[in-house]
Amino acid sequence: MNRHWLTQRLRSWGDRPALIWNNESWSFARLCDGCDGWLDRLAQHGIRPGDTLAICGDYSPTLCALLIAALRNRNIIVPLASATAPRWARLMELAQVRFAVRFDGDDAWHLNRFERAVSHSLLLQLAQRGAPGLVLFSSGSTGESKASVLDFERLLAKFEPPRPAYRTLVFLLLDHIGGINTLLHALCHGGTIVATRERSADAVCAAIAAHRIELLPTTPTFLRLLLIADAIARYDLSSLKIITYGTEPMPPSTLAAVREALPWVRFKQTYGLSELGILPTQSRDSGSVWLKLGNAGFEHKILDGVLWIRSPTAMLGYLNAPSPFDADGWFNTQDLVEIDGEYIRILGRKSELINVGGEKVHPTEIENVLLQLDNVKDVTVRGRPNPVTGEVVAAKITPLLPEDPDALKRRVRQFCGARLERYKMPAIIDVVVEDHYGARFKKSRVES
Amino acid sequence: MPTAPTLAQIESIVHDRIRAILAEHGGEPARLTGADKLNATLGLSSLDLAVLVAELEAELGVDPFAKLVSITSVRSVGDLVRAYQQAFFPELGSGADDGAVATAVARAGKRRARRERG
Repeated sequence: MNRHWLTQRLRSWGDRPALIWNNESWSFARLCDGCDGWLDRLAQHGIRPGDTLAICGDYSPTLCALLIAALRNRNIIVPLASATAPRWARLMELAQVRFAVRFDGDDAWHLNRFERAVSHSLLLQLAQRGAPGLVLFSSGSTGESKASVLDFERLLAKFEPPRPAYRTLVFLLLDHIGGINTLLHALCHGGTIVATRERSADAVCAAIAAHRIELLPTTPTFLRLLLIADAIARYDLSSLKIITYGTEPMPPSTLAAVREALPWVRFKQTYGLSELGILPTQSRDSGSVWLKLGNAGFEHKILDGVLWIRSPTAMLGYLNAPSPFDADGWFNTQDLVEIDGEYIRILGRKSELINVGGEKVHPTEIENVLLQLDNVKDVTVRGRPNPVTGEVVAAKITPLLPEDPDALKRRVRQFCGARLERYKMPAIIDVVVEDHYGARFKKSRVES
Repeated sequence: MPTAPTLAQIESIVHDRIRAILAEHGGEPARLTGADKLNATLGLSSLDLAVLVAELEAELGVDPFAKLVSITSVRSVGDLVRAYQQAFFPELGSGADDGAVATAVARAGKRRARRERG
């Protein structure tokens, strides 16, 4: 495996900075040396190809070196971000993890071995083929997280052709398909990744300014937070060239506002799922939420407004759920889309549609309206059971500045009355103070 | 279990909410009576009713239609008032006489007083 193109590629970048962590720069040469050190250690500890290995922590240099070493060692890698630490034991059990390396905040590590057998047919299949694997968990917002098993070699293949490289801030967590994609894209093309310990608006802007970040992959929720915190005006963000956003639908009002604040930046929507990998996409233009799904082996079709995808990097299956693919290998994304020629617009998850007496309401449509109201920091819309119409629209609103809840509710009703059909208007309005997102800066629609 | 309001308070809250919805439609409702039909007399649509019960649940903290009462049995203002009264005073639902209702109301009052003390 030492002749693997990845090894040669990373070595070829030599003294170029691969990673900046805690303001310390690691060159590609140093990262590769770290990786070779891990290959020796893996052998010493009896961690063989096909073994399941959990890598627990965030983007520290030694962790990144281990990830590449484990890939070269053809392990089945289970990345677990610090944000999910309370669930690590259960996730490791689900993924039949035999070895785990836990990293602390200082990049120090500790290796554990578990006395459990790898018996799942998908894991055995990877081991028999001698292919490295990747296990990613769904967020598990409803029920237990689903564990997707991917062939890591297939995911890696798309990074072999040379592409432009950027100095990239790693924002999405490493246990997310977007995080893995960001890391590999940057390293395989000679870019530099910059990791921050904190992901607050100020910490991210300070890192962009200090390290001249060019590419920020993030979420619409975080972009809104940047605007609300008024952080953009307080830092020199002139180095930014591209902001990519995904994981949830982008409210047009958020995109318009962030483009106005960062007019020199190109905005690009991404689309990916742990079950499929990341699809090549092209936004209609920087200010548009319409996107074109690229080819590169990916196929898509729209049935009854729902997006289906067939992907060359699709997972082999779930460890703890039946295969979601149909007989021809198509995957129902459950994402409702609108079509305009060759472009699509993601409206939201089918399961999140609200049915008000037979009328269908997209939560994002209502959120997009409410986000235009003065003094609204964040809003989450969902369906609430109702004896008359089955469901009604319920909106949870956090004001920017303290406001009398009844006054805010009155303003919401007035504002919506002029912009929405009656059945789309929130019947229930909860005014709260808490944020609507977790460690992934993605809106949570789960009823708390 | 939320603190029980009195029967009169429940009636007043239900009437206020109905009046607020009628006002949103631009109407100037006269005094409501229990016999007023929600749809036929007052012109409330199913969506109005959906909003009404959602608001009443938020205000009173109970949903009588979850188990106790079928929404399809609610035709008039009085039916709606009784549904919420019954959610707080289940004795009302079993055709209890005035004496039993008075006892139930007194019992609820004592419960409320105990909670307020505690």
